Amino acid sequence: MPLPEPRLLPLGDAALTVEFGPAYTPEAAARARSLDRQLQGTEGIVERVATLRSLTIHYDPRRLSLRRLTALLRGLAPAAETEAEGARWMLPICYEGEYAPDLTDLAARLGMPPGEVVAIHAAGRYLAAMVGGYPGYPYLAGLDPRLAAPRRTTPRIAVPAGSLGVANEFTAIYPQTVPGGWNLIGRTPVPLFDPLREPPSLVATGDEVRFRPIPPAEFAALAEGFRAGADPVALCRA
Amino acid sequence: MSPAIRVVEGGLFATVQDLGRVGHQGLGVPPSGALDPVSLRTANLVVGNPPGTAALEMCRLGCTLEVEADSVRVALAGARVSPPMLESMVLRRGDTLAIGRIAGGACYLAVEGGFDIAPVLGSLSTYTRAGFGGLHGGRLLAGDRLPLVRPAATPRRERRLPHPVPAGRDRPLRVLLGPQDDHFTEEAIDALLSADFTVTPHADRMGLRLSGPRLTHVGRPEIATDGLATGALQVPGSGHPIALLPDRHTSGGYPKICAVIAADLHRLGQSVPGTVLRFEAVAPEQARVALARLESAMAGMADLLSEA
Repeated sequence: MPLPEPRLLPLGDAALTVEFGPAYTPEAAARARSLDRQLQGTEGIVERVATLRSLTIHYDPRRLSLRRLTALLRGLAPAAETEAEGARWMLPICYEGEYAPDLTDLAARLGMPPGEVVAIHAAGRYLAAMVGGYPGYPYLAGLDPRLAAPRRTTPRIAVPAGSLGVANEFTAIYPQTVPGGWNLIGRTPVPLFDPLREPPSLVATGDEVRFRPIPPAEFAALAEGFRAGADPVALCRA
Repeated sequence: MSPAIRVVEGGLFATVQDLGRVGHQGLGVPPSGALDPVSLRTANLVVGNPPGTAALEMCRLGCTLEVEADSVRVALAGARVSPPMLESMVLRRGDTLAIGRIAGGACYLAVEGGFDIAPVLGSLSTYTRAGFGGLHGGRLLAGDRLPLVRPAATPRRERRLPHPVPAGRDRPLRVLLGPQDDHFTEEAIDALLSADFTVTPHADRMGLRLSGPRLTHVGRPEIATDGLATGALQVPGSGHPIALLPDRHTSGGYPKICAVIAADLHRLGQSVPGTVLRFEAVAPEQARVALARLESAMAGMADLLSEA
């Protein structure tokens, strides 16, 4: 079956959104990532933002007209979808105590013991379907449907950096302390985003992420190590 | 001590900005950069810098600055202030410059040679919400020292411009409808293109909340997250649009009814609470012509420079 044609939606005169569907599907997200890679290095394209269902292309209208960009997009063969196209990461997570403020609540809502929530979550193999919203914030697809639950009714004003959240079909880690409404079931000591690092975000769109449960003592030791300059890339590459 | 400009009074919201941080939106990092890139480029032209050199952007109430270098050449452009604008001047060690009240959104102070600050992700623009870029990731405060590349002004004559780039102040802001104009009623589109919208006090470098007629959605007032752009008008459930500025998010879940064209972004960036905005829909070809005209006007400014 041929893939449906994407919609091309102008976002002003310096950006164009290529929409693969009205909502997240693994296929729409994969097509956005494929197109993202296909357009790498295209003259006149300034940067690209892949989301869970679309790719927004920021271009320089002085160098590339909308007509030429549209023709270029229509002329591209739909790229083959590839899984595990990116790097692989194993992130240490403490699923205990103060690091998991919503675990008991969530477990009660899901009707299972907290230990089972952790076991199911930590056994998962996740795909960074999108990075964005906040700098370095990865939306990880592949959450076990048994853990699907809506966001908290009252968002927190400040979610601590490193917090691991689950909401609906995703799990994610907050790289900075920001407001947020996801159910927090753990925390990583790994600094996911550092503007002085190149690349600044540990996890990029298309990467695979798995989790390794750690006790609070190891969290503290790792956090201390990162403060002293330990390299998260070397420590977390799977 | 190394040459610098010392901040005596920080003003209301002063940051170091250039033309923005390019290439990291895919990781959730907004472009930041000058609210009014045309005025930034103008200030750099007058002082003799490459157009994208980082300058001091001051909003609403400017800084008071003291020179801690043998001398420094500066130039001001953008929203009106009391010190002379659009002309270069040399300040000497111990001189102070008080910018004071700013009649508009943003005023730019360019210094000859630029600031001696390391770029973060390829840019000197300050992104205060994540606390990086610029001098220390934040707005300037009394006591800050802005290090200068040049220890002294180059010996040459001062230069001035007779007028800024014509901005078309009273014209509506030109927009391209979309990407989600089909999420709004016909009446909403009519209201967008005919009514006055006033900038509310909820205005910062992320965006301007506007008040005016309620723009009614067809169906739910949300979409699955997609990409954002500076100048886009996103409309949350309240029906009141938010015009996005350079510190905006890189993606978001409110429908965007239209987006201001590149040639008019500098005018949007000069809006302050109380500014009345009107919008006019144009076709992509008109947007292209408008940008070519702006660029040719910018290029023409170099010929208008005269020596004092």
